Amino acid sequence: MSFLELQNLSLRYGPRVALDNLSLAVRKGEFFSLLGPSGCGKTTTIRLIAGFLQPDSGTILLEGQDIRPLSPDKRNMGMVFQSYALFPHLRVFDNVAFGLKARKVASPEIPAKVRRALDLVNLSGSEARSIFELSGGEQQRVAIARAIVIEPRVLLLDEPLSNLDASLRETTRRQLKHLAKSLGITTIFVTHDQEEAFAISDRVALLWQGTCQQVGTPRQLYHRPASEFVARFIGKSTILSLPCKSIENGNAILALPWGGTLSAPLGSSHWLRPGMTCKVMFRPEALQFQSAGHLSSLGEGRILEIQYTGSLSELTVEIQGVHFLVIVPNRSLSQIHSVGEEVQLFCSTETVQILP
Amino acid sequence: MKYLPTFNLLFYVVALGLLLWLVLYPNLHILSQSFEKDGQVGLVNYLEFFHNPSQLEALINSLILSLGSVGFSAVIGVPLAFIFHRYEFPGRTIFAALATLPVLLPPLVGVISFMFLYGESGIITRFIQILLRLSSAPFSLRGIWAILFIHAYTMYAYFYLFVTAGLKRMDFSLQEAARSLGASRLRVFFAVTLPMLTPSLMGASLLTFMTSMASFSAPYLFGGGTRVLALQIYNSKLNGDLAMAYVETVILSLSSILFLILLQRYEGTARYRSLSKGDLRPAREARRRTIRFLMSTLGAGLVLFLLLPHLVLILISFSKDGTWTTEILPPQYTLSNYAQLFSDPHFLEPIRNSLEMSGMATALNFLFAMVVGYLLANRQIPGRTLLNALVLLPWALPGTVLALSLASTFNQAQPLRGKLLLVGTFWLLPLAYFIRNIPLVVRPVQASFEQLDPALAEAGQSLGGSWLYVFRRVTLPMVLPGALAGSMLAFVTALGEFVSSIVIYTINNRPISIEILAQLRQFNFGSAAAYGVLLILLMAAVFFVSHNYFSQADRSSVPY
Repeated sequence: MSFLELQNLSLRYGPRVALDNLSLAVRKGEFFSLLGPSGCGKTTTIRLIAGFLQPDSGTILLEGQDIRPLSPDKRNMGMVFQSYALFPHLRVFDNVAFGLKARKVASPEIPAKVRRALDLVNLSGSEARSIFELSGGEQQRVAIARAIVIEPRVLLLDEPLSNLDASLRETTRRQLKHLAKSLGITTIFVTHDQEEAFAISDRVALLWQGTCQQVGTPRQLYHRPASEFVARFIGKSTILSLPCKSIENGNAILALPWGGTLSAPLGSSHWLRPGMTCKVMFRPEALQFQSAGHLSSLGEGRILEIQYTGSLSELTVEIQGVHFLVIVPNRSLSQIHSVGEEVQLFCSTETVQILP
Repeated sequence: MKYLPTFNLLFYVVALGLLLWLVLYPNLHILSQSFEKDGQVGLVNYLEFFHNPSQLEALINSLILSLGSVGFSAVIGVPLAFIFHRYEFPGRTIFAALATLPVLLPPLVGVISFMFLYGESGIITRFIQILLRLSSAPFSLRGIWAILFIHAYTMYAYFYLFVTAGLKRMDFSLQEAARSLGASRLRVFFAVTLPMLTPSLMGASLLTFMTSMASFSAPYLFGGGTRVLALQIYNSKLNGDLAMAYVETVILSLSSILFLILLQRYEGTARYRSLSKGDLRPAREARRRTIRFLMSTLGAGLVLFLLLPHLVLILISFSKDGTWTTEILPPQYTLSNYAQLFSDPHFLEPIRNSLEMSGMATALNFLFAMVVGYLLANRQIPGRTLLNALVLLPWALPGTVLALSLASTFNQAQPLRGKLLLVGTFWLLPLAYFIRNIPLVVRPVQASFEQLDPALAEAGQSLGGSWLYVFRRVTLPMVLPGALAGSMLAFVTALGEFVSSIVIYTINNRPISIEILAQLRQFNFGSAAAYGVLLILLMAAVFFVSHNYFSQADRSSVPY
């Protein structure tokens, strides 16, 4: 049995369906992300877990116990809000101590606990500071300290990094993961940023329109997307509809529009029969211009556009009216490719993914 | 916050009940009475009103006065706001702050200081008379022009404050965009700046209009027989013609409510909010030295002119009663006016009365506002529009109207019809103060509740605080500054209240303003002024405290 289980949760706001029969299972000590575009139901889910919302139907089990009847103050969940929700009339110490006082922790124990929590977020000695003296990053860490000091059963993070600037966001997410892992807290992290979710999580659930599209490790989501939606939402890709000519040794032989064939591993797409059409996904970093033994050729094309981003270049390659996205690393100063250049495109068969 | 529905329902029922009983019922009562004559129901009273030339004159005078006040106040207030907030010159910040001084004059106190200054035997009048060796006063502060002068002198502050706020919010990249698109400075002013300021100008115009319609003190002391509606009500009541007083009340109320509705509608529709946070620019240096010098001089002169009423009041408050006759300035000075305020029981009693009545009314205002402000902040409660309208109604109704409606409703003990016998008792006046100040306290409390980030209460709950614990430790401390600031404002307003007081005071609860008038009638100018200075000091203290300790801006949420 999982540590935290959401079973068949549904919730409507008037005519709008926020969650539609959502089921998720989170393991103890896991760093679990809810990823999805805005309005997908990820914040609704975390608010259901915290107890600020009640589901229309479905249950929420924490260690096998249904926590739906518990009001938020009885659930022992530490939550970090997107706006941090620090109490502006209280100093750092009182913000962090709030949860301890609310649950009537003996007052001699409070200062030590607060100090330890502030140490954990690298804010030692900030007890007496006012919230207004803190930078955005410091405010965010106070919010985390306030949530972990109560030793919550689950730590809920509602887009806690979205108000930080880009460079701070990366360091903070590293610290956050380290903190959650070293304390062993089961953590649920809400974000719309795929890169962030991947970098920080053990497992990710991709939500869309109130339903769960796929749950898995970042690698599974990226390389084995369960649907075209997942493939398109996560990372960049080129997706083609190709007819299947035959199936040989667990590989599908697909016909390319401009002649020739492509062999792709069938994977879990056992439904595919010769004569049917399937969607095929190419990740841009799996495409290249140099031939090698295990690579098969896709065809001859022309470079339409080059976007230089520093470490990488994103190239659009056209083959017979079809646009392929190709990413190549920039290893040296000199520009290797140029717009209009005729190239031959290769891919390794195992990276081609037939979408279920 | 949604875990105590029964509690909320109780609050709701009590608040709505009180508003219906104390705000709506007396006004409906007056409305129905206005259709009654000798036990018969009909339009007789209204026909009489519209066939009586002097009544029509009062209505027209009121309207002309109010429009005139709007015009003159705008002409003074708008340029001042521009000069003090768009250009940098020596003394600018001080002038800008001092220009709001008229707000610190309780209505009656303002009017009597004008009398000391510009009245027939006023200081400025005598000074000019002697300077020019005239045989009589060069002008007399009487009639419609006198009222207009006083209104413009005090009400320009509305325009000044509104336009200043508008300018501070304005995104100046819009002006730059217009300039870069090829518009001249003049064109930018009329095509961009002015339209952006329309909400401010509309707000100030309507506020000025309503205040002028309700204005009682200036016509009462300087009207010299000029008929205006607010005064006619008082006179009709004094003459015992209650039916006519009711009709006048209804007509005055209707015009005020009409303008309030206009204001609300306008607030609702036209909001030229900039899309971005934009470029909020500080004032810029005036380029030419001569212009800077001119501005500083003008500013200083103007501020002196605006300070005169306060200065004169202070001066007169030290003058010995009965010694100032034909001199420019009072000849003899003493501290006894202040001493007697606090030692002589006769002088102390009005102060005690006012403190007591204002204190009671304000305490009730505070509690009531906490409940109603909390309810109104929730946009989903049923009947929110009605609740909101009832809260605003006392603001739209002139003080005379409020007093008369209470006096005509609570004049007999009929508990089953919602009537109590309060006329002639101590209690009617504090009740009037309470009702008048409902909007003054509810609005800031409502705003505080609305500004409160719901995540704060949720954070408190998720940290293990019960509803009550979170309310006590998070919500209340955040709402309290606004509530206290509003309550203190209500307290000083009640302390200096004159317009309702003069209609319903009794000998036992005679408030400060009535005593000022009584002292004035006995030519005890020093004593009257001392009371006035006391009121101004209290008001200034309240503004100082609420500005420095209860400033809302930086407390409602943490910026990140």
